Amino acid sequence: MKNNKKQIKEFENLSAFLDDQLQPEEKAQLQARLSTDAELRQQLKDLDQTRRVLRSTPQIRRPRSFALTPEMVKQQRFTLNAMRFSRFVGVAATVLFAFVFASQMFFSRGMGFSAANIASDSVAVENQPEADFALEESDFAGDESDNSTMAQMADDTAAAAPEEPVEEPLMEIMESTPTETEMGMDDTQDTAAADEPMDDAADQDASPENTGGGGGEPPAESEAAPAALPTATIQSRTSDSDKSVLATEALGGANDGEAADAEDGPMLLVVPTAMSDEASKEPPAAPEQRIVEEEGTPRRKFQTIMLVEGILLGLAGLGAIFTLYFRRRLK
Amino acid sequence: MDEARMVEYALQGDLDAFNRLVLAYQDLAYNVAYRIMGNPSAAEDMTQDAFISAYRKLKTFRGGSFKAWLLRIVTNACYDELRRYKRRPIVALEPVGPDQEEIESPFWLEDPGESPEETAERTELSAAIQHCLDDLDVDFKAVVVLVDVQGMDYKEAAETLDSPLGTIKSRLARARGRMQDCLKGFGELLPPEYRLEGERMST
Repeated sequence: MKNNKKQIKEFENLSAFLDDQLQPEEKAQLQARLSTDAELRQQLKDLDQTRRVLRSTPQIRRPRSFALTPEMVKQQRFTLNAMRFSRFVGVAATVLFAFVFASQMFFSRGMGFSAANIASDSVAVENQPEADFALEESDFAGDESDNSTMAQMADDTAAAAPEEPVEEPLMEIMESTPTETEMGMDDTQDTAAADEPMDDAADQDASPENTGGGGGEPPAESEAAPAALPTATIQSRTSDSDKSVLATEALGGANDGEAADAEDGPMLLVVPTAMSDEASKEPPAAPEQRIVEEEGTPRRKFQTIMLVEGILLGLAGLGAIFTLYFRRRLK
Repeated sequence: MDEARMVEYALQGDLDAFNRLVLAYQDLAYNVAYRIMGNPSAAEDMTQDAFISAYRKLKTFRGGSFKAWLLRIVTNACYDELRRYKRRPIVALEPVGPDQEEIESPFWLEDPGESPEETAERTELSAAIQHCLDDLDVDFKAVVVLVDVQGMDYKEAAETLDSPLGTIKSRLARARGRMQDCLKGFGELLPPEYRLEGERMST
């Protein structure tokens, strides 16, 4: 190996010697060796011949003049600008791809809440039949009472209703509140303490006449069933709250029975009250709309993010296609 | 010709002044491109591109040897093109006659001022050298083309290739060794005065 390196170095010196590119000391040393080493002299002779052959390489006649014309310079300037632009687009597309990918990574980690959201929604759907079942039970209890009494009470309620038209649907909605208790919610006292009408409704609920009054009206079932949906949703969110910070925040500490607090109270109370208001106008649809507005905000955010990412990905894809096409055409 | 003045005029937008520089160096630029690329059409494209590029980048010329600066643009254009060839290899169009037989001496290499024997001898030597050059790595090829084929000195070649003198010296020696081995393989095919004898030198 060392010997080979020495040979290579010696060959380099022979080559440089022919071009007179050696330092005086190196040149003297090599000349001394050449005077004694016949093999080295032969090597120098061969290398000199090779160099001579290479230096006699015929010059090729150029096929045309390469003088520039104004059009050529102008056209080329456009081409170069286009090349620069396409390069910029290519880089931008790459950055966009990277950004979208990174944001996907970030949000998919941060979007644990979205997964929890979806999971809780499915749980809510699963819980709905239970709520319905609870309502059916209460309705069934109402059916056991005297029909005439029920009719009378219905009339009485109807007579009392004009003063407070919202009361009746509110009562009906509040009949669903026992489902919270049945499903393990500990915060019924919170809801009762925070809202007076609900208190009244609970009081009325306690008497069989009122129950009968609510159950006596056929729409009560269909109205109460969707009204049970938000409570079931809240329940399921409560159970998932340890998984998702956002879900816990949305609940506002309802789990801990702190709904009486000024901050947390409205979160729980707004939903049923608003639902009951809306239920009086559009019984089945209103609560669901409310759910989407109040509870679906993270999902909407998620959808917006997905939409923005989709647009960015589309732009990046277009940029990449443009760059590939344009650069190929230019070349 | 005062190169510095021509460059100055060209910088002010005088294309004619730049074209005087083109006329002075176009043969050299084309030959360097031809020997590195190994085919005339690619060499033509590279030379033209290099002159256009040189005109556009003229403000980056900081004095010194205009020849070295220009040839650096030529060799860089050739490097880029050869890299592209490696990525997307192309099939060269061989000169083929009406009977589909390859023409050894295509018309673009013919010189009406030479006898047929002289033309054959010249083209055979030229083809042999080109064949051996084509087998070299591009870094070795560029050095041997600049120093031996075009007769530049080490310093100018170092400036052109933006490499230290030591690198030029070692690459040139290796390139010469490999060319020597390759040319010996042609033996009798080369004109008598160019035939190489003795043992092959492997480096």
